[in-house]
Amino acid sequence: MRIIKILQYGSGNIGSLVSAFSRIGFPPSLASDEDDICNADLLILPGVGSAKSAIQRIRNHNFRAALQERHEMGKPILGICLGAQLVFEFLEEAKQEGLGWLPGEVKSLQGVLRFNNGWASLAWEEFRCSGLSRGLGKASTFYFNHQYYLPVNCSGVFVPIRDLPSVPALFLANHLCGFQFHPEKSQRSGLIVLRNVVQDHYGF
Amino acid sequence: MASKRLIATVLIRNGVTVKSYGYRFWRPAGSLATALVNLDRWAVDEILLLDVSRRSVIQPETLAEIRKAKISTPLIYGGGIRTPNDVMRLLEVGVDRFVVESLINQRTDSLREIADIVGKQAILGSLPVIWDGAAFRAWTSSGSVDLDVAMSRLYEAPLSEVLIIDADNEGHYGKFSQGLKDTVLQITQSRESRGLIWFGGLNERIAAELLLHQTTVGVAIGNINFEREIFLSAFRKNLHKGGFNAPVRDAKAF
Repeated sequence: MRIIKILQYGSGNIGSLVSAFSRIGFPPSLASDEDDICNADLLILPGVGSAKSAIQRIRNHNFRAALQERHEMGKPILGICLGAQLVFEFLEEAKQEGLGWLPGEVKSLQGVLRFNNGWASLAWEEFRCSGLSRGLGKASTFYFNHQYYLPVNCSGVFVPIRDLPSVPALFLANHLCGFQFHPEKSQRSGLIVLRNVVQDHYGF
Repeated sequence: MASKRLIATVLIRNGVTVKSYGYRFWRPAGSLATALVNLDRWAVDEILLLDVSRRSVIQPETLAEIRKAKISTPLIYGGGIRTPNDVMRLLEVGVDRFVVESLINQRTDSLREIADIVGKQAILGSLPVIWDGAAFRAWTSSGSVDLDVAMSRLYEAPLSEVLIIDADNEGHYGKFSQGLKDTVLQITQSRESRGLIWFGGLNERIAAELLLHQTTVGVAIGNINFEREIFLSAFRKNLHKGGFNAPVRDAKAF
């Protein structure tokens, strides 16, 4: 049985994630120390909230070094929403550096409402090519709730939101995977994409 | 951008799930966990859970029911949120977004602290509105306030969306006040945009009309009939007749 751990650093809707992973047959537990972080087969970086307080919490829990070690070992890490944003170099909201594992700056959305709250589809061709679309279709939608967005770079596969081509919905970069949307709150589509990332991408 | 949302609403009062009639009369409406599980199964876009108790504090029984439901539909909670600790307790059981009202007027420091924890995108401001015989006024815990003043406070607060409640007509199907819509849209026209969610007295025709407006991001319904399985899917289909193309998601079980 593969060990899936959710980083417990006081930032994120952990209850919903536990429930979602349990429903796809991979019941997770919480990572609360360095051993948990390094030894899990898959580490989930959850994230609800502001980037500034998330970075501060990682520091307060002294998790930074263990996270870096895990990343350098190339062990699977899945970031969700803010957790996906944290892996980039710089976070405009926090006005400070992120974990720096991928290049680019997480910036604020521009436009009429400056927030992207609600359900949206992904750009189908890119989604299909990502290998995460098994059991899903063009009309599948996912739940987004964010003000800042992931940067695009050449270090991985980026799948944009269908109607917002410059805003990535997910990325895959070797052992790193990130969802801007909340799969744990995306009903059936969210559970399917979680299953696909665990089984098809990470091969569990 | 994300599609506009059909939001199912559940009211609780003094620990009991209720159906409201204009916030004056109440009828018990069954188990909260069951209501949440049903709405989750019917694939609504979001669920709005409002505690409308007169002196609401977050009840441990309510938290236990939310935890028990284990839903995979986004959940918004409003009522009795006063401190960052309240928000942490709600986050823990699976609440995603938070409706605040009195914090906007009375405890702005607390609100900023909450925004720092969960982010502005997760905060909605509540604006119950009443007609006092001469004008629409915002109904706050400290009495009624000029609507323009209340809207200004909301627009200065760290939040992403505003929940506009037609308090007089809430619970009365199809009685939503067109005057309220016109007044609010006129006030918001000159301001930086916030997403608007409308609640109270809506029917399919009115909801479709509201959803066509640029700054409307959702309509909240369901206090009337959330126990009827076909109501929400029928409502969504009828929005199409009103001219709004509401996306339909797959409600099959995983």
